[in-house]
Amino acid sequence: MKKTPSAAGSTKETSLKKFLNERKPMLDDVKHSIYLWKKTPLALIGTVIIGLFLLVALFAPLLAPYDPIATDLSRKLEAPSAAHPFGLDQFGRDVLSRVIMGTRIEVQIIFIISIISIAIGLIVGIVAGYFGGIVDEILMRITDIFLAFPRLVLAMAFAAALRPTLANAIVAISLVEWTVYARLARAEAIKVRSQPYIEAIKAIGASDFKIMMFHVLPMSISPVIVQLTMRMGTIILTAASLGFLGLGAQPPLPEWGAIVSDGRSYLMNNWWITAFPGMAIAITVLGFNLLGDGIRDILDPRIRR
Amino acid sequence: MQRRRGDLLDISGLKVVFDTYAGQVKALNGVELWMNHGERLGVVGETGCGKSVTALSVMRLIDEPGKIIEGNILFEGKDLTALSEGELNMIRGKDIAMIFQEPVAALNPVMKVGAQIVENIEWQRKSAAQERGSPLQTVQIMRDMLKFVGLDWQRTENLYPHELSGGMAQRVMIAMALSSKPKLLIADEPTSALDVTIQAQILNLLNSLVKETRTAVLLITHAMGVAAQFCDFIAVMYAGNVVEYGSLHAIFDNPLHPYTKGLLKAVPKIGRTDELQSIPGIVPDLIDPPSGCRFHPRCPHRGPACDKAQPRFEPVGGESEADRHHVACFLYQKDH
Amino acid sequence: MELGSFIIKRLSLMVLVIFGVLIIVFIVTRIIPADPVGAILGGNAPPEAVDAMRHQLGLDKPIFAQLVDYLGGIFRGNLGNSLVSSRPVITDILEYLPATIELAISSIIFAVVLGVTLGLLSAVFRNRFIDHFSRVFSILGISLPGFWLGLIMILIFYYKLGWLPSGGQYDMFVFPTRTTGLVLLDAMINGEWNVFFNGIKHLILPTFILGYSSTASIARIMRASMLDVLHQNYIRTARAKGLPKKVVILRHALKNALIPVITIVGLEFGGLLSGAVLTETIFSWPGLGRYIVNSLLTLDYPAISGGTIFIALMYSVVNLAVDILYAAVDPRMRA
Repeated sequence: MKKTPSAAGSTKETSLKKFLNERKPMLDDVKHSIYLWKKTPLALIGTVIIGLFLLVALFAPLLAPYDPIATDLSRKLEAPSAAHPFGLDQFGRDVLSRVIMGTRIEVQIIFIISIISIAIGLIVGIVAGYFGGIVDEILMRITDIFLAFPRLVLAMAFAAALRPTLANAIVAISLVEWTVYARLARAEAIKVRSQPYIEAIKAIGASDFKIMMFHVLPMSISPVIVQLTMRMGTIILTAASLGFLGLGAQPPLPEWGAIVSDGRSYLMNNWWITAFPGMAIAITVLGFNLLGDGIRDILDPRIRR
Repeated sequence: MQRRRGDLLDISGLKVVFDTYAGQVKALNGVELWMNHGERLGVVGETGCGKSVTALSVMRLIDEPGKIIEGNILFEGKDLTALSEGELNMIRGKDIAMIFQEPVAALNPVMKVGAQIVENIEWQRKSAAQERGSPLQTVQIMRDMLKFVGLDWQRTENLYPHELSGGMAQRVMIAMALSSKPKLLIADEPTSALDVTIQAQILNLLNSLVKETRTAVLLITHAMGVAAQFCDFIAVMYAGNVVEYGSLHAIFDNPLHPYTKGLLKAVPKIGRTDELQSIPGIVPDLIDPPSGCRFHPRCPHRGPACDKAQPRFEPVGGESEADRHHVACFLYQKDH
Repeated sequence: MELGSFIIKRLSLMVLVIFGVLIIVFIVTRIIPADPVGAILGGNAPPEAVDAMRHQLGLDKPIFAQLVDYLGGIFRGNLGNSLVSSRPVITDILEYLPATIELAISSIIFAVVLGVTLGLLSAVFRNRFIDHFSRVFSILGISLPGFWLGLIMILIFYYKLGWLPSGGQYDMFVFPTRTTGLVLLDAMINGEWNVFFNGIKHLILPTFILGYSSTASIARIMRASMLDVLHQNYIRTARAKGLPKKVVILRHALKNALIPVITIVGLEFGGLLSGAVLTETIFSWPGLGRYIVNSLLTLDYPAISGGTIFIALMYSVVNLAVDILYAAVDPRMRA
């Protein structure tokens, strides 16, 4: 065999070089991703916003200048000032402190909804896709039924039926969100099921449960996570909408949607109660959407080329 | 301006680059190519050698991130690289038509094929400022063209592209391309995506049609055999350069460039007894191409000068002028 | 012919899904609530009253018998009586429905026209000013909470500038003649142009707020789809014919690029109905969305169930229509 001149000079490759050469496609891929990341400033902005959002949530009690719940009726509806940059609400509570403490509630909402909806979605999707046939048919028709409702309307109905509290709003949104992941997981499961190695594992006596747990599930996780990052903005918006309608977090909890709703009656003269928490929702959702877009773009083979 | 070498098309020093994330791809590195009216020129080379880029350059259809950075493309004396979009649109489709590798994908999926041919006929009339001709006349021309390429117009004109086989779709593309009576037809791998039996049919059809209409053809192909069957002249491309150019006879009977020789040895032939050979090595990375002659890393006759400078593209002495035999290799440079 | 069998298949699937919808609504309104009667009568009602109410609502029957009653009622077009207005729920719904239809139609028109235009320009003039503008406009559209933006708009255009009304379908001093229930249509039919222009003024903000996020989604899909189409081989063919860019885009690219947009429009309609709930609440729009919110807050179960079923039905019908339209537009789907 003839050697290409580039290889000719270095017949004795060090093992590290060899290793790096073998991994070159993978390394290039990571490099390419980082390159794309840098090329999309919007994704960077999204990352920064979400980073700040998480930091604020983590240090909320330290950052909030006042007690978000303590009322002081003597100073109600005070306009923004240096001491209270976001002003005071109708009970004399510091709006800035409420917005800051609200980040913790939003993080809770995202976190719990993600876990519940992904769990339901993965179970339904994997079982449907793996077993196929009648099981698939039934589970997918059930999914279709959930999809026949506009999401918010169904979440509202669940939330109201369960009694409007923050916890129930979280359950209600999860009961609507899982369909997204069920469809993804099903598609993955169908792909994995038809792989020859699954046949081989079955032949040596692996149980269906084991195959689903150790072969289908790991394959389904990554598309589900990617989808999740894109859905997070929507999740916050839905939770805030429920809060705004009075079907989610109840006063005095500083949930952002609920605060916007609080300020509604005072809109004309005391706009700050509405404006600032709404802006907080907008910026956070924007951050998640930018991040989600960035991830989608980076994974999109059409953009990669 | 330099002397025109071909009265239809004369490409000189054509350089095209594509800016990608990994760096600049130097796709064409000074392509030289020319042809006269009515001639059939085959451009042969491996995937990625720049054949298609050359063809698209002639149509000026190189898009971002690609651009022509140097060179001229003279078409009947007019430099296509200097024309505006509007001026180009007077030439595209009318004087130069093109057919592509994947005929089904090259047709608009939501338009009936008859309408797509009619559109071409109408547009070429309009751009030539000819009187419009009645719609009925136009439709008649479309039907004649479909007949001309061996299709039953009654069955075909109202079909959508996805309802056609690859061979039928390529016939439709040929009908469309020839409907404006172009002076030059560029055929970019017209048969590569088709079944072998269909390939021969399409080639034969193309052969008889261009003979009848005296249309010049620039045929892009990776198959030496196809080029040999169809063309009067052959240009062999390697890594963005034409390395050898000449009549069919010159290229096949007296190949000079080591790459051409390698290519010919790689063509299977009936009755051939010697072993089929492949050219060792791989097509170079055009982001960071080899210095000097781009073929030198794979060349069995590599000499000390080969990685220093690019060999000139020069006529081969001692052959008939009509053979136009040119080669770019230090083995044949007189001052070397 | 193939299209016919596709429609039949799709239709039978829809019937199945609608049946499931009814079951879910039944579960939500009858099973999950621990104590609907307590919710109606308040916590400290006398036991006899509770029993009487349970009997009146049929809640003392076994759950399966309740389901049969409920389904039977629905098939006879009887959704029960509202606990708040005491009128049949179906009468209430039919009264509120036209306002929602009017708002939804104007929003979807707004969203499609603006979304498609922005997406198209964005793709054609990629990385130029219009593209950047359209992308920022779009990402804001899917990020800004509509209920908040609506309030801010009211603050600006009603309280501060006084240009537009803060809510309602028309002013109190305007008395439209009700023919179809669609205010603008009625005004045109009856030649009440003062009503018409008054109605238009009231429609502007709600249409923008409701349509904005759909505009954004449509613009994003349209841009992506158009960019994809512009890279297709047949576009190269069209350009090789010497067609000017405008003709290539409008005749060859646009129709192909619109195909995926059609699906999105169907899905967006769901978002639109969700958004209508919020928009109608903010703008005191007398539609179905506000009716449902009020029913939920007052725990008016028959109204909740009727309203939710109606919304789901509308959504399913629109999606069916979109699927059929999709099949009709794309010749490849007909095979």
